[in-house]
Amino acid sequence: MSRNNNNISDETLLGYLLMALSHDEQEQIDRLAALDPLLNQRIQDLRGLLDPLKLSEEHFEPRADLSSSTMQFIQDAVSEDNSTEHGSEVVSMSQPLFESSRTTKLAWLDSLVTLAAGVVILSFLLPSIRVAQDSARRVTCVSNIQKIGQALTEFAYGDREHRLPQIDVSGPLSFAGVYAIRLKDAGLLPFSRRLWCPAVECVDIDQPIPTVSVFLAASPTTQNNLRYTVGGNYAFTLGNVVDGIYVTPSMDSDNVFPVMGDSLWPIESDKDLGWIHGRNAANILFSDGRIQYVRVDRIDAQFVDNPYLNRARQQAAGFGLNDSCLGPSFRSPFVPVKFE
Amino acid sequence: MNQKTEFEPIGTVLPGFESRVSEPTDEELVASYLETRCASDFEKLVKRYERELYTFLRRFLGDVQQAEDVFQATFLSVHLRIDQFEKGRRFRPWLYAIASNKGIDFMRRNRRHQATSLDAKSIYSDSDDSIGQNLEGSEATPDEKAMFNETGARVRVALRELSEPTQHLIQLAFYQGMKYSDIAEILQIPLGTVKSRVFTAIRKLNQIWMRMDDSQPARGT
Repeated sequence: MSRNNNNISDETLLGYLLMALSHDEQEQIDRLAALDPLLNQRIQDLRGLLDPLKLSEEHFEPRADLSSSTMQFIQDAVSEDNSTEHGSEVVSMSQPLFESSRTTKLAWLDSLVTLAAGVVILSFLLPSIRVAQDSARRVTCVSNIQKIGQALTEFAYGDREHRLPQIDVSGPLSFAGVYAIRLKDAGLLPFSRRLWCPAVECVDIDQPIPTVSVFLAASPTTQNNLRYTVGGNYAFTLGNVVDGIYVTPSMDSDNVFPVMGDSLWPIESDKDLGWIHGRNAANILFSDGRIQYVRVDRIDAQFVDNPYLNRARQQAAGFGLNDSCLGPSFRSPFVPVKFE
Repeated sequence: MNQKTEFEPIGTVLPGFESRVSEPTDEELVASYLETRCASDFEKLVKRYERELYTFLRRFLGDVQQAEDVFQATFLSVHLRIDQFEKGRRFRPWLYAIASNKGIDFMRRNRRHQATSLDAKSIYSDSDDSIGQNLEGSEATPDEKAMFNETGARVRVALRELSEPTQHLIQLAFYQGMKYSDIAEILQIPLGTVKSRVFTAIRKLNQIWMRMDDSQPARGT
């Protein structure tokens, strides 16, 4: 394998392809690879080493009650004799598993008085704090969207037909968050990390965005995880089907269409966390450069074409050029696709 | 090639979608559990890692029952040692270190049984799901899927030719998508050693696989 002059070992480059290096190292190699065709070629060569592994991945499904039976197992183990042995572990009753509540340590009356006083004070303070926080987050969110929008515009004007980044019809690159990966490839990504609205806290924020090459080299499990997180909590236009052909919109289009916005997808099935600005509003960037702060409950009244649904009220690619729809990072333009 | 498409209504959150948005971190859950001993905090951790850790153990041990047993033993151990979890440390590598040790202990204890069951499982997996079936929009033909599954099975056989520590390393680096720094913490070896071992392991796997590929009879076209 050829060596170039930057002294990066193959071991390190393989780590880069596995996304196993530190964030700074990943970024450094991204930058160097963009400037050095030889280094880029070495990365492509090493990708081949991961091909067999990609073919071998199996998906296993735990039984539905594994978590609950594990909790029961622990409860039973701890409830047993003081000196019960589990392999090399000695389970001790001195370490209680779960305590029902610490409040039993307090007198009920004391607790209630303290609670009531706290509620009164908080009722005065919370609204003003929350309004200030929401307002600050909203401003930062607008700023983020502006930066990403600018990068998308630059990307489009670098394209022959002035189109937004391509989402594949099928395969691993068929999801809305691929915009972030394409921007990264083009060296236009305004942030080095994932794109999260400041209104949402996220522990995954330190993860870098991979290039197409690194993404395709990743295991299907990693690809699937990235699919959900790489576009952050923003939604991107899912493109249009025009005369049976799928395209992403062109910035030359006479139609004004939503380019991106806050994602309004309920994150957890049992929680409504989708509405991220005060739970009922979102920022949307349109192709004319306007960023509109919309009340989600009034979205159908405000827009003839709901930016988050296509004409068939689905979160999928639009029907024709006049129908646009924003989808969250993981969303494919076609779910599922049927081919004739 | 023009493709005619047909839209279908979209369902709920796709399987496997485990959002980390607006949720406490693992470390926050541990801290909260240490403070309150509230079962729901611990249960959240178990649920959060249910699929990921089970998949790791299932692949590592090659058997459903063993994977479940080690999964439960791992979380029992987590509970028993949780007071030793140092502030500032990250939970995921700590959990994997415990699970890995439990898995290795289990394999050593059941080595004789394991030797036969692993070989069987590596070829006749109880899972029919392939990458192609799990990636949305994939439209492989039945022939392509069959070939894909067959190739996958052969790679898994090649994997079994590697030593257990090498398989373990590949599991962590490739299948679990772990950072080298986390692997170094789990295996208690220097970062540079992880880098070189992973590289050597994957190169060796390729050599075995290519050797197996060469020995396959040529396919008719």
